[in-house]
Amino acid sequence: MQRVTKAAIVLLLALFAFGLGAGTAAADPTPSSPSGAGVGPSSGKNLPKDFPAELKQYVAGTEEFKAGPWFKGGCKDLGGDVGQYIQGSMAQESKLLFWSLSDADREKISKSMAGQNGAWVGKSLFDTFPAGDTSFAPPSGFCADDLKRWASKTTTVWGFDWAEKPDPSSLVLMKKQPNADKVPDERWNRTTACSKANSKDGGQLYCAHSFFLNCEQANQGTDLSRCVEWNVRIGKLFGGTWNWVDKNKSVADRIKETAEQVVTSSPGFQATKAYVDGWVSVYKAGAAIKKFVDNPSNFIDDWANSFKETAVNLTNGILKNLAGVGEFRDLFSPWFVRIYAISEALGLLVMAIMVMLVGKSISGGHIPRRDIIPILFRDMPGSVLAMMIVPVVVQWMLDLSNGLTDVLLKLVQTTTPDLLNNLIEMWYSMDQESLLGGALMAIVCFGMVIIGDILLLVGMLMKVVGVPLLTVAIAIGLGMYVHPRWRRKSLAPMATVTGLIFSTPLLFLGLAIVFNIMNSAALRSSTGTGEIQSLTQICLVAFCMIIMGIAPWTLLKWFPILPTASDAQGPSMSPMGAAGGYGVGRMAGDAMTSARNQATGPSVMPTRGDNGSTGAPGPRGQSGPPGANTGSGLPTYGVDKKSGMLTPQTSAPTGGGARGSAQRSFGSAFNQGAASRIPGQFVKAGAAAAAVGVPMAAAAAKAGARTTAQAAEGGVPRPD
Amino acid sequence: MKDYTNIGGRRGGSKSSAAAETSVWKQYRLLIIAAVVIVVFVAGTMFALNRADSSEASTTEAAAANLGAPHGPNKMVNKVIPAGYSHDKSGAATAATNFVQALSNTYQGRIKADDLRAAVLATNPSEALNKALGTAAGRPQTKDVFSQVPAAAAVQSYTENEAKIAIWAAGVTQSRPTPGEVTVQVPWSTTTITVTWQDDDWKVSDYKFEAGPEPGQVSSVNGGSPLAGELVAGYYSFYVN
Repeated sequence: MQRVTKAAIVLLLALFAFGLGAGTAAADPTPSSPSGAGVGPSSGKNLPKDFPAELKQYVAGTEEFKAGPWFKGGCKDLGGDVGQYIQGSMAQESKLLFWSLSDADREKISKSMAGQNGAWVGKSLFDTFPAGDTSFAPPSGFCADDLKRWASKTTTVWGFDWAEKPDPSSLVLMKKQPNADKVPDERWNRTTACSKANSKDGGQLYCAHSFFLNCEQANQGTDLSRCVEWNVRIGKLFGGTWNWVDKNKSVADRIKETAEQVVTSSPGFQATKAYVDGWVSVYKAGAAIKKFVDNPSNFIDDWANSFKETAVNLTNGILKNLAGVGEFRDLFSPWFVRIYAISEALGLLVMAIMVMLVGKSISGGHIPRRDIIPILFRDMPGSVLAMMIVPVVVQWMLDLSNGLTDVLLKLVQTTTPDLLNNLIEMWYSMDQESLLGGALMAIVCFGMVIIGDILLLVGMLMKVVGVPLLTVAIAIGLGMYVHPRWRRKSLAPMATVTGLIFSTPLLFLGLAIVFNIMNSAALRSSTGTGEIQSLTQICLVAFCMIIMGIAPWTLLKWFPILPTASDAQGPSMSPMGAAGGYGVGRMAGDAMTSARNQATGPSVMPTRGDNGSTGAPGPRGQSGPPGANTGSGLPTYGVDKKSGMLTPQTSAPTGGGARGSAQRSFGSAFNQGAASRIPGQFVKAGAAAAAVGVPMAAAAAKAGARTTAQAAEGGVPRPD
Repeated sequence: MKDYTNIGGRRGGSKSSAAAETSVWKQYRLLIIAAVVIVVFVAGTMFALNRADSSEASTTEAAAANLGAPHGPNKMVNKVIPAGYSHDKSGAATAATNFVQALSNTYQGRIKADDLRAAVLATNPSEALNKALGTAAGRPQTKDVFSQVPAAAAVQSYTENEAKIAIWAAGVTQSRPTPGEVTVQVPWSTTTITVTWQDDDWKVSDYKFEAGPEPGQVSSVNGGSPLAGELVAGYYSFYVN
């Protein structure tokens, strides 16, 4: 009954795969986002007090934003109408800018401007361009999914970020727009346009509106036309900006210097992120990262400052750009197919060897005789069949995983901008008074955050490397399936690759959970921090990042299809191991011993001097008289004249832990049985034994290494 | 001490052999079921594809509009997709050019992507082709006009079964970004289409797209450019809407 159930499940999975495969074959690799995607926190309670109601629809995460016109209409299945959103929010740009400043800065500006205009809180800070003039605004009808294709996919509210600069053909057309040829060259590049040097005299407007697309990323003629249309409109915007700045210099002069400095240094105005992030900067606005220690007096304080800065910047950068990292697309490319064919051939070779071993085991009585038929006629063809469909199955799993990831990415995107703002706010307020443990704890805690960030990034890249490696390992491992003893080992890579592929959606699911946890932790800190509370919060954040980062690494444990030490047990194995891998194993064992000896050597050198008189080094291989051990339990060592390696002088255990059973059989095989049985066994086993013996030697080396941890003194004795 | 009880195992009674046989069958069941599933999967795929081809044939016959062009198209699938080309270089070039235009019409919402796929795509379209079709799919009909006007088609390679054609086209675009404003741009692009002779027609199997070259850049063309090859002459146009 169980087998029928299993078969039914297999059948269902196959039908499901068929349906899914037929569907995904026709589908665009980048699925369209559901409507309402990329929104910030669901409640508006973090908006500043007195935030005007008519501006709420331009701030991502509010109910008004989610109900906005950009998610209805033609772009509703394609991620939302970004052009329409920018049109609307640009008309309110100066107000949104004002509200994106921190409370303190808003106060400052209100005070400084009150004298000139009377009560003006909520009115525009200064005139911007184009404000409400839609003839200079970007066109509507441009959906987020298309912009993603022409720019770059990242974790912002809208799911993309603009290109660094427009492609050369577009640039030619852009410069032909009215007055656009007068715009200096460095403004046509986002990085240079946003640099400090260029941010005066209306220059910040170029930076804030550098909505460039790279039209070389279009994939068909009409796509190219639309992309160029957008770029040309931005060219018109730049031309109009130049014209406006030229004519309105006096307006710019009217703004007091302090106000302009505050505005241009605010994160709300930094580059073009304000728009792609849906102006979430109004939620929590803060100035630059506050130093941890204001007047660093020693290097620990300096390090605390830099660790904090690095942790904040790194977290910012990595969390924002998690999307689009680590996808392996080459499973059916010619180079991989070639390599996979070779690995299939290797798998068949392994299968041939395994069948020989099966024969030996059967004749030795370890496998029941009646199993030979199922092994030959069921497992062998089954393995070959399975080897052929492995890439198809892996590709199906990859497609499934990518689809799941895209869905889960939306979950993450909803919290990332809000989280980052909260995190920055939490860390902003953290200084040596508020963090328990001071500068040293800052180094440790922010260090952990940095480590967590890097692990997270590298963990996501693991899939790119891991999937092809494991696919090849599966093919080779399937060769081992015919041998009952190795069956479990051969299935290990399959489990690993499944785990690895589905670790990405799980990672994003975990990230969504973790981000929410971090978010609520960060939020709580803004309401007042006790000393231990801030420490706990930062450790929680670091812990969350590290957990997410190391999750894929635990899978590495299962990668090797070579046998481990546990497979070295049992008398039936050791003759083969001894016969085939004797020479290699000896050298490996010796290397491990000498490595261990050298590692512990210096610490026990002094005792050698103590033994000088009584413990004369015996001839190589023989046990010298037990030297005058100081009773500390440490072995004594002398230099082996022949090989120059340190070897133990005594062979009696000095009270160290018991040897592992693997070591025992290994040692016994070497010592007693192997010495006499080697010639005959070696001749009989031949090449097959060598193939098995090499991994056995590796296992033996591992077993040897394990016993070093138990402080057992015995080395590998050398029979002559 | 060797165990000799197994020697008489075979004649050890029908009970044990029957038991052995049942367990062997049970052991093989999984393999047989897996093999059956795979056979069903493969057969099903082939059957589904055959059905798609034959249904397309009936659609095209029903919607035939005999245009009488010497190399095709000789039918309009669903009244909007040109199909049915002659088995020669000009037929291949016409098929490739019409596909570029049909793709543009799909993007504008005038053709459904599934219809286009069924009518003119080969059985194993490449990933780039799928991606392009996916981008064009699912869009609402727009008032903006995008016309791919082919300026030159060059047959880069031709055999009885496969041909590769590079098409240099102007993308005439008229759009109305805001009320009262009309903008026109004409970005040029080169699309390289591979067509395969399948089911008595040229079907598109591969696709490559590149922006440019702009007209100002083509007066002297180097050997590697698609425009340096043999261009197809004898070009006429007609409208379908």
